[in-house]
Amino acid sequence: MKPRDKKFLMVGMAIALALSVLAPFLASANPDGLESAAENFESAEGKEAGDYESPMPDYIVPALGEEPLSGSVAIALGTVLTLFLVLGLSYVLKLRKATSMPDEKDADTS
Amino acid sequence: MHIPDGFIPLWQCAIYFALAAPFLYMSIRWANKELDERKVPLLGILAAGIFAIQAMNIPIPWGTSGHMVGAAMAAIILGSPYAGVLLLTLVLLVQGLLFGDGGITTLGANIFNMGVVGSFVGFYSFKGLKGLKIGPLSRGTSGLASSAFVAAWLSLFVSAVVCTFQMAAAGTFPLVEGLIFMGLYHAVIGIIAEGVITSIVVTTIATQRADIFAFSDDFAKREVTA
Repeated sequence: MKPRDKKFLMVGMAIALALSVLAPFLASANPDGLESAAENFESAEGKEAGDYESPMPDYIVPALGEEPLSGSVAIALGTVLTLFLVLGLSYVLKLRKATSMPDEKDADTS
Repeated sequence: MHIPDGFIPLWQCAIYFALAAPFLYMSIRWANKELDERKVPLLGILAAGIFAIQAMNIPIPWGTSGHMVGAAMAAIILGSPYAGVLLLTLVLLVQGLLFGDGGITTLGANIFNMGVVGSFVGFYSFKGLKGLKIGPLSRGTSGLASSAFVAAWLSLFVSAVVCTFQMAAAGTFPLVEGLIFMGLYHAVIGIIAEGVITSIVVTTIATQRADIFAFSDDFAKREVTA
């Protein structure tokens, strides 16, 4: 990665992380457009969510309680993870491009 | 606009996964072809930044709030609607799996309305608008900023309309009233959250990093300040 791109990545991530930390303090707690609309309709009532329990529901780290800072940590984690997903994806695509013989990859365990 | 689990019957959820799948396939092909050393950091920052900014709900009237989606922004900066599809898919995966924001069964529906519809509407309306020569606002940096603003607004608004049709098909919202509420809320969210932020970010990247901005050729003659 060129120095210019590295600097760009650093500055961009600094902004993203600053947003993550500030979000719980600044964001409106009002329902969003879809939830607000749903409140107007009986047909949307009682629609139960599935059984899936996410580890950090509503952008809160359960162990840290329902504090704004707990939200900051949760959102910052999500922000970093999203960056790593992109880096991981580009890495996998690069590997696939590089290895024209995929059979050799299975042998390098142990 | 993240549809939670339970708002759409499972058989309809399957249809949205099927509808989103070819776009997802094309977006992986886009990444395979276009993601080079310079575009990886750009896509990474945009994805991380859009995840963060989606946690920042901005209050609007009627006791409601809303946040940016970012599909138009990603598609415009990276120069392909498939970039927006890929980015929104990754962001929605993290949100749904880790934070319970948007359902798992409704992931396909959310990818379809925000990722696919949002990216295509944003990208092609920007492409159409940037060439227009109407008045002083259409030239140089202000032309770029205003095209990005309108494209982003349209992107969010049309996503909200498509989302309402999904809700109506699911029997969750009545169609006409749904369109009124969803349209009204997202018309306002589109101005504040989507339009303004997209306009600022697109203009900043186009002027600071013209080398990585997909449409920089169109704005080569922009005014150079300072």
